[in-house]
Amino acid sequence: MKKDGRPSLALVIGSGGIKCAAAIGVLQVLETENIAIDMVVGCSGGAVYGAAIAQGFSADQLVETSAKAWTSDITRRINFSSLLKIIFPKRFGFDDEIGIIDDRIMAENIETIFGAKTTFADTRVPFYCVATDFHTGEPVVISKGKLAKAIRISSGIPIVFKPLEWEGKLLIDGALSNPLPVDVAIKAGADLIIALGFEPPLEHSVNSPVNFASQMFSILENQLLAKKFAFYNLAYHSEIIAIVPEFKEKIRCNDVSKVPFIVDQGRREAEKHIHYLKQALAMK
Amino acid sequence: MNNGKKIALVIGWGSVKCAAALGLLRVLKREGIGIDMVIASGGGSIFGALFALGYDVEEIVSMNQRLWTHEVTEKTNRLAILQLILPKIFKVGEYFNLRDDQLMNERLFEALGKQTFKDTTIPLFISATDYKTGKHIVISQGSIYQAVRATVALPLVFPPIQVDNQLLADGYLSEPLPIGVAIQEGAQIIIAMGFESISQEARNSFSDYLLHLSGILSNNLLQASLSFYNLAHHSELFIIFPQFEDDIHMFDTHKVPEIIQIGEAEGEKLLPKLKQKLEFSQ
Repeated sequence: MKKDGRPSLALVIGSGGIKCAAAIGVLQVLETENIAIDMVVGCSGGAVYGAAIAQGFSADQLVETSAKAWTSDITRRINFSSLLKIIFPKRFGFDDEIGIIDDRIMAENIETIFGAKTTFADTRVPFYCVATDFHTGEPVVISKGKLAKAIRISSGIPIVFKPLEWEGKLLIDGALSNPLPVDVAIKAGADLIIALGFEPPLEHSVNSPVNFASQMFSILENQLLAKKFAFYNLAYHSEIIAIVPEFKEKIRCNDVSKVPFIVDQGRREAEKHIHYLKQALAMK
Repeated sequence: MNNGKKIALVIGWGSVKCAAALGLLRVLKREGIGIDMVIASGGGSIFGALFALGYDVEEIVSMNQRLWTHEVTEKTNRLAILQLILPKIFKVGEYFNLRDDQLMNERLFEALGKQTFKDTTIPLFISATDYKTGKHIVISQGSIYQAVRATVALPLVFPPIQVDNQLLADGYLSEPLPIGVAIQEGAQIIIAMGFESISQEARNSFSDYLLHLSGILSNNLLQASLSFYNLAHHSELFIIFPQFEDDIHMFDTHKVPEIIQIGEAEGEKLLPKLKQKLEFSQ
């Protein structure tokens, strides 16, 4: 509960790469209804949009954010030293800091959007993002320090991007431990939670080792998402409003051209829930 | 001795560590506490299946020593390495795997043969994962050998197998500790033995790395399942997580006697609470 007696509303954006742009659609609906968000939690791609919303970006500004974050060159630069370590582990010394794609472009993009010096203390409403401890596998909540680095850490898809050090821990993508971090909002004192989640797509056909591994991770992440959400629902049922947009077509991770379509889906899904949300806000 | 209470034993994913369940069963047998159903996932299914088929615990222990010699899991699938490097030439299908499974299949068949779920003395349920849809599958009919072979198919290590129209892989992808099945089957007391899937040792190759990442996910899945079942269950739930001092590798078959002892010690620890629950329910 906030000081003025108003219930505190949290927006939680789960992992889902560029599909997290559906958060823009959700924000459009909230803007129309004049409903303010009091805190934002993001995981992986959700951290990009979450941080921007916490910064006070409007829905229109967020569309621009998508284009700045997922530039077409983001996956272009290969990290050859990682590739050599993977193929010849003994000769080149295999270590935990594997990342096939050089992360410099991605890190620069995030800094361009948020500014290199911006910290969590600068956001308009509190923002939290989640990552995973590579060694213990446990979820880690980041709520202070440089915003851009935290976002880069949270969206560090393992194998693709290298893990990064943060306060003595080696961290990777939050999706591996907490793909839809509703619990972070609960612990931060949210009364009502809009949880925007995405199911990782399964492969249509498995015909390369990459496909094979990606199918394994998608299955695990889907199951993890479902189990965690079932638990949150059981433990805190009435306060969580789940929005899970479905996408019939496959959306590649940096396909910016699909953003308008994704935003539309997000808005449509949010509109289905707005009546209940208003009711719940009034009742609290 | 069960005072009419239906007791389920759930043995979770944990490859060779699952042998700890034998230690637990040894204690339960000594105390005359019967198990009414067995639910297992991954490596746990081997011991669970033999127990459900009516083998005595000591018989399973000695069978285990004969079946799980080191060579079962040490043969590398050379084709897989070529597939990794040159995927276009050496086609990869859904059966991609890094270890040769032939000897494991032979040994599993030697132990389980043509027995079906109808041959068990108590109901047996084996958890696996549909590799196409990612859904949790509970197998309770047909060939036990096939079900066990499906659920030990840890992706990237051993290939999934086709059963009827489904491509089945390791239960660890969807239900590393299938307590939910015991609840659905009406168990009043559930003893669940689970295992952490994260290794503390350094990773020396890409396949170690992939397995570590999938271990992180599966471990979080296990934790999430436990939180959920703890809240949702309407029966008594005893959860055991045997702790091992050394890191036990998937292929450390020679450590089985030590693992069984650890399981036995866990069984002794559980006993007072379990007995109390059985007496109260008289």
